[in-house]
Amino acid sequence: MQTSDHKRTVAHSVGGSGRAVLLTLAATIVAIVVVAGIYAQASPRSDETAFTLSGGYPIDVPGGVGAGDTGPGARSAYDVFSWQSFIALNSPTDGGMPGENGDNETLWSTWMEDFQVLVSDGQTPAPWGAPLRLPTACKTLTDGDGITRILTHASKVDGVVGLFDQAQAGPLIDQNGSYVRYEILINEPMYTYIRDNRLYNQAGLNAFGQIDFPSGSLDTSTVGAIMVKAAWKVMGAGDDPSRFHVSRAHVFNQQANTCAVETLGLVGFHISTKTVSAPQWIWSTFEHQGNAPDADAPGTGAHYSFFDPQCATKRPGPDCAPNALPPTPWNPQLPNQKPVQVERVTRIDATTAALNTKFQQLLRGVNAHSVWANYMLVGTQFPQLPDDPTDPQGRPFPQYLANTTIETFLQGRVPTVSSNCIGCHNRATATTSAKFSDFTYILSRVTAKY
Amino acid sequence: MTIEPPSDFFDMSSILTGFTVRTLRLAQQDADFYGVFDDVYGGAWLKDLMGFYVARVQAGSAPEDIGKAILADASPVAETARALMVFWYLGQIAPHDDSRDLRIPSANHYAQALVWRAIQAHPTGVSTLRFGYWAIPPAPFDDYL
Repeated sequence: MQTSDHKRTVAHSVGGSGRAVLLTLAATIVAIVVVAGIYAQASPRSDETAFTLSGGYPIDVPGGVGAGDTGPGARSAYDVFSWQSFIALNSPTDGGMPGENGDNETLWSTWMEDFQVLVSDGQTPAPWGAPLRLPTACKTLTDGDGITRILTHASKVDGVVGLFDQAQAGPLIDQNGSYVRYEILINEPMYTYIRDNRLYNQAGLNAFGQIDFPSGSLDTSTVGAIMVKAAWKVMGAGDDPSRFHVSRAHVFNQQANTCAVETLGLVGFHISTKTVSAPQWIWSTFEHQGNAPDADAPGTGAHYSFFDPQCATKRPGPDCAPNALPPTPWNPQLPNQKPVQVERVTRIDATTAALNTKFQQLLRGVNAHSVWANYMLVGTQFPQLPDDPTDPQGRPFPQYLANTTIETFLQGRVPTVSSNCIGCHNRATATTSAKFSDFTYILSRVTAKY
Repeated sequence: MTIEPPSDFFDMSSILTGFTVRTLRLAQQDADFYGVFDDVYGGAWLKDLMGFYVARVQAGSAPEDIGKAILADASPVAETARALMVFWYLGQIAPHDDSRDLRIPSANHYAQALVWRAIQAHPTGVSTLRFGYWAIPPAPFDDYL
């Protein structure tokens, strides 16, 4: 595992204090730009010049709320930020643009998994970039050579050591009866903050003051804390792997202590970025376009990963109720799993959809068959009034935002019930005294005392 | 929100409620006060109220004088204005012709009603504050406006 995101970070420092350090990387960056016919964009704006591809992190939205837009609810600058983040994080580990030479291993896949940082024995986490330690059940597999990804989570809120039936929501089951798997990774600034401040065990959390992860700053050209959450489905019957970003991974079933090597396709992707302009973080969420149709326009002929247009005919009864939790017991190894019939409750905003089209075109300009052009931004939630003394959530906009593969069962517009990124993560705490954990739930799963 | 409210709607509502236009716009973002009032109370009544307001703005009247004129006993739009104020403050509305048919159109109208901000509190069951907030005094009243 490499820390290849370093050069992405410094690439954005051009014009800042790190100019001299970057000279050795300049040729590489220029080559990328020339070959792809694109231009690096240091920070997102909502005008046409921002619609370019770059492997650099956008860091923050200059001017914060309303930058380049008018009035509350102006979302385009943040949506551009989201797309630029998506492209930077999904760039190849060895440089270049996403999809340039076909599907690629991504930069974020080199980050640390949550279970690597929050080790169960409470000892200092492995150094940044340390390889994953396979569970015993995975070590005996003969077809797993070279695989570096391990997936354990079977629901968004399932803990590293949690069981399926402890989830607050429930598992998502695709049309082939396979459980969707999730992983959570953090970038190096976030990892370093946790390690250096000993936030990986309860004693460290209790001894530490206010948790305040580093913020991305345009002034200093430094990237802040970033978390990603990826949702994967097993590539099976009816799926076309050439349309997905795919990865071979060990899929570990903690419930049964079993392991299997699977080819997985990326279906959902959250990016949470802490910045100076957004101390409540910026919440970007992407999906594969073939996940599910809009609820008010269910498709008829298309193949969806999580929706069957013929469901009512094939399985009359409650099985086809949209976005309904699957029947218990929840165990991915049980036979005859019933797929969840997923629909998108809230349509993607028209301006966001238009931006999707533009960035997808840019990605196809790099490679006409780019798998990355099959992904779309669902939306970006950001604080409109980050310093509002009456609301520590900073008046987030949009009020609700859900990914059909990660918040399948929480879609809608009901306060405190429906998916609201900042609203939910504003309740995240660590320690038995409920210390605020700065919008991340991963610290709430720290179990080791010392 | 199905229709973008005209800016005059927020300017007039600010005079009637005492809250800033920004606060009203943020409330409208989460719960459609304008569209629902137009639909439930009656578009013709709202149009008359807006017309009354705009005419006085164009005549150069001061905001305070406009508010007094709207709510004067003899005002033809006072009843509509009071219904709108109730809607903003309580999230509660009834058709003009059937005042007994009171309703709160959605949970978001309940949560965004101004009454909670007026008392420096939050709706029952809908808090944006963090664990332990009850041990901290609320922000000054002006911050809620």
